[in-house]
Amino acid sequence: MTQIPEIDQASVVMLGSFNPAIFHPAWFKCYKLIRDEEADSAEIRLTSPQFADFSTKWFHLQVLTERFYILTNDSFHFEPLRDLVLSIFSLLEHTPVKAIGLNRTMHFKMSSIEKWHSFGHFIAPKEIWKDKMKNPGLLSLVMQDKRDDPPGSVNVRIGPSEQIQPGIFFEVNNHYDLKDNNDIKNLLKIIKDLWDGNIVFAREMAENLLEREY
Amino acid sequence: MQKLQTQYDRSIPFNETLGLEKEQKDLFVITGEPTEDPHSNRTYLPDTLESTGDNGKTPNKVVSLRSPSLSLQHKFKVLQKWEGTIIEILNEECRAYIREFGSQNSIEEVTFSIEEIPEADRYLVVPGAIFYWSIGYDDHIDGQRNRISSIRLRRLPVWTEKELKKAEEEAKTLFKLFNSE
Repeated sequence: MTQIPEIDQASVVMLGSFNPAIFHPAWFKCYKLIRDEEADSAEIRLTSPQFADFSTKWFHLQVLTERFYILTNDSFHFEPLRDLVLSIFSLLEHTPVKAIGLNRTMHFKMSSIEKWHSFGHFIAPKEIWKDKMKNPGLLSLVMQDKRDDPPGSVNVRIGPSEQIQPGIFFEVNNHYDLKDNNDIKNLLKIIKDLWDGNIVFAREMAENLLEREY
Repeated sequence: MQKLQTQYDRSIPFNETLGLEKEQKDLFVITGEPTEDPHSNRTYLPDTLESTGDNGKTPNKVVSLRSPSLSLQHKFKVLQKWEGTIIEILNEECRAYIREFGSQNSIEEVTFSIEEIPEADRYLVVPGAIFYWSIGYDDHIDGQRNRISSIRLRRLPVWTEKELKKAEEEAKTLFKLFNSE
């Protein structure tokens, strides 16, 4: 049976050179990237030449001079988040970007504490640790798969959820390296062509493990 | 609002109070010189974004960065999701094609009241407009569960008059170029 995650987040993280001062709700409103009401009611934590941080009801944006983050924990808005990022960087077409991550984080509730422990033993058997540790427990497991085309990697992090008890979180980071910092067309192509597939892949990654016997 | 500074300034003591308002105190700190972070090229969200100077210099005023997050006042569970294209609008009714996400099912034609679309999006409702339709649950932190149906129109950048004029001029230039004898 397909389990629906209790918490489901999608995010985009970019590394490059950004101008945080641009990222004010008023700019988003001017270009109709979001609803006027969303821009007007945005919670602005800070905007400055070095740092911008604001939230609307459905996304949180944070921009530093070398990093761009946007995330939503509303799975109704995964596609609008993609569209928003495409729109931003269609307008800011000269932004140098060297890497992008298309990410999904899911927190699943386990049916019992016993099942939760069983899953932990399943992905990280404890026996080999017990020679030197009294009571070893899994905090976080990271697996990486390198990718040649487009260059980058898939990084999957699994661990006990701090927000859902008993729960497991899966964080799937699809990392893409951009060969040319000024290749915004390639950046937009990656987001446009690969977003949907990555969202599905992350879910399949989690289900592949959760649906096994443990 | 207090101006952020990230430049190093030896004249200011390390423990100088920031003078932040109470509601600003949940901001973290960036120091003058970031530490070499072995994971600095990662493109997933770190738990924290604190960086500390490791060059023996004391920082100036600092503001801490909290990794972006959203309040978990609500948890959303999508049961079904479709992408649609508006065919026509007639007498306050929208006719549209929809296709379920992640499904190989064929496209369906549906009709729904324009009232289903948020007022803020209605000016975008024209033939050819794309929208997202999701149904599911909205679980509030107080325990209330609501079943919701949400339609959101797709938004793309709006061209400014200056950009349109520039595009028009470029088109004229190209037209002359291709039609010159």
